[in-house]
Amino acid sequence: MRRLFLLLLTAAIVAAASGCARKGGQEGAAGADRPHVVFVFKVLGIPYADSLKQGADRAAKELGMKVELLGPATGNDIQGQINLIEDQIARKVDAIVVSPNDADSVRPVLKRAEQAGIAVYTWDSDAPEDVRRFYVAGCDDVQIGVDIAERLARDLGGTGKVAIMTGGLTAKNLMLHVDGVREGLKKYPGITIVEPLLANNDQKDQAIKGAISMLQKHPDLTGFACVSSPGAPGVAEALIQTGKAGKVKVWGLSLPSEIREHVKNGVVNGAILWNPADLTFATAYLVKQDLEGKKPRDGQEIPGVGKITVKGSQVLIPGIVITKDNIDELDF
Amino acid sequence: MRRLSDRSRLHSAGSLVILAALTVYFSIAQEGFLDAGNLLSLARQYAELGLVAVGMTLVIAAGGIDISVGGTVGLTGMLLGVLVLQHGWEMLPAAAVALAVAGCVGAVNGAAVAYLGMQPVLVTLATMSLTRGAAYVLTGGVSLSGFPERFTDIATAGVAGTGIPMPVAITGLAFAGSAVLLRRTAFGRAVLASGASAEAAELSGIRVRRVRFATYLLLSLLAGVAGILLTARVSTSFADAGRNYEFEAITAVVLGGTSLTGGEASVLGTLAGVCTMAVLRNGLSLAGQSDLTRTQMLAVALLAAVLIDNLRRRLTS
Repeated sequence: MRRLFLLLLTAAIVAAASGCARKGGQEGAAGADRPHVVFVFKVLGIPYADSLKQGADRAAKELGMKVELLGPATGNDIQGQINLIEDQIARKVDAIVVSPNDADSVRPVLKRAEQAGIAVYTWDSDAPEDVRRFYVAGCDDVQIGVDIAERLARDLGGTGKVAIMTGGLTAKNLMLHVDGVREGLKKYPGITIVEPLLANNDQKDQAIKGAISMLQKHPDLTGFACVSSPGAPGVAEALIQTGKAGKVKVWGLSLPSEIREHVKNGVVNGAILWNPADLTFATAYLVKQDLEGKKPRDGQEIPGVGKITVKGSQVLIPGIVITKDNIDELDF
Repeated sequence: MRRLSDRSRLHSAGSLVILAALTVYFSIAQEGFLDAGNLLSLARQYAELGLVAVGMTLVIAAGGIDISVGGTVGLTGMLLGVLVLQHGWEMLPAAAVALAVAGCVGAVNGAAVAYLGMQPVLVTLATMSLTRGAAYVLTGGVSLSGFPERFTDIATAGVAGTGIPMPVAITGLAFAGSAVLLRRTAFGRAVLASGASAEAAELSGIRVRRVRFATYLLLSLLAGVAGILLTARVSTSFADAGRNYEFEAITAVVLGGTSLTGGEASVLGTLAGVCTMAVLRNGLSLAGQSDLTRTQMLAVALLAAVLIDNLRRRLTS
């Protein structure tokens, strides 16, 4: 009886494993001469990771590579991520691209990978510079603020009174976004910035409240520049409640899904963001090119993504500008 | 006694069958699996879990359970980092202090369970939160790196020119030592007797409390060693080190045929259990499978093993 159960358990595990392994095995057989690139992300099963994976799938289809996106099952699993990277060394893949949970902890294993003849890169989040060839990032923290300011200023015709709304006051990336907005607006002497800086603590209800009181204090306000994602949808609600929808221009940094209706109705003019799928696709594109001996070039065009910026060993992909013309094509 | 141990030997033979089947399967299906480099890195990855699992075998054999092991691994590694990297201590005294703290955790677990008669699951649930919490509080959740290379090298360097990495050698010794301890010594017999029936053991002159206390202490010390080895391998102290070790260690022990109600244990079975988990994870990973698949398969395997354990006991009683 006992043995029967054991036999059944064995059979079940092996059958399940064989089902899983076969899927991978067939792909491998078909792609003997294609470069095999594995992305190791921080965690799987979150929407952002799903978007990243879309880019990996697109690269596999369009670039003639074998591309996989793997990651630990739970968040911030430092050991699990290292184990996964070690497995890729054993698989003798051509390149490993990592978004580390912990930058320093992946240093030894990435060093071993390079010693084993595997090209190592980072994307989305960086590792120590000496253990990777280049790093592809979603956006430059300052530049995204400059872009928001530029779009807002254009919609305002170069004159007006603008309020800036951030998330938390201490977040490093948000501070840089705000610096970018201020820098971008300097080009437009007709635009004044209303102080103080609004902070919504990354909560939409606080964004609504803050925007309403700002509108009461400055009835002649003509624009909002929002640098954290709850900003634009919160300001939109405030404008609807105060009857100013469409009269005050709003640009932000939000997911299309957060502002879809407001953009279509003209309450929010647009947003700037990077597309996680494009980030992975562009990385795969540049990795393939690097394996062929060509480094990323400043201003180089990536099909479907746009022109990249290269600063040292850091590569930036362009943000996407979300407006009512394209928001329905963006499914994230 | 004889019948009991024979039965668990049979059962551990079962876990060896599963391991052999998986190994043969992945060797054929997955290119690179049998590669020496792969097997070596696999052994290094699972050496730490092995240490914890072998200690867990003894605790479970004596009728207990300990779910604080992951927290102990995390706390030990974090202490090591704080002492060496923030306070400039030498490696050896820092490791000794970290190990001593791990021992204290074991002493608390053992005293509460054995001498105060508290429920092992609840006691160790509390110490799990305490140790993990302390690991986070030490640096506010920030990880530390920058250990000297002579320390991080122990994760990869071979022992005495054999090519066997030090952590693997240590774990191998722990398994061999525990197997001998359990099968060939009075202490081992006392452990099994305490797990089978505490009353009967008391009547035959075994100091059940002392025996149980010792198993908790030993497990926590092994978890402490695991925490140090893990820190060397990833060259970083991080508060989350050893997460899920309680689940993985208990799964390995149960897969190996050790009965969760105590009294029956197989160190060899636990070794097979740890290897099964390693082979399964690595094999699926080499096939490009996501970690989610593996976690689910492990959970199913654990349920199946517990089911078998239950049915087996019902059939034989």
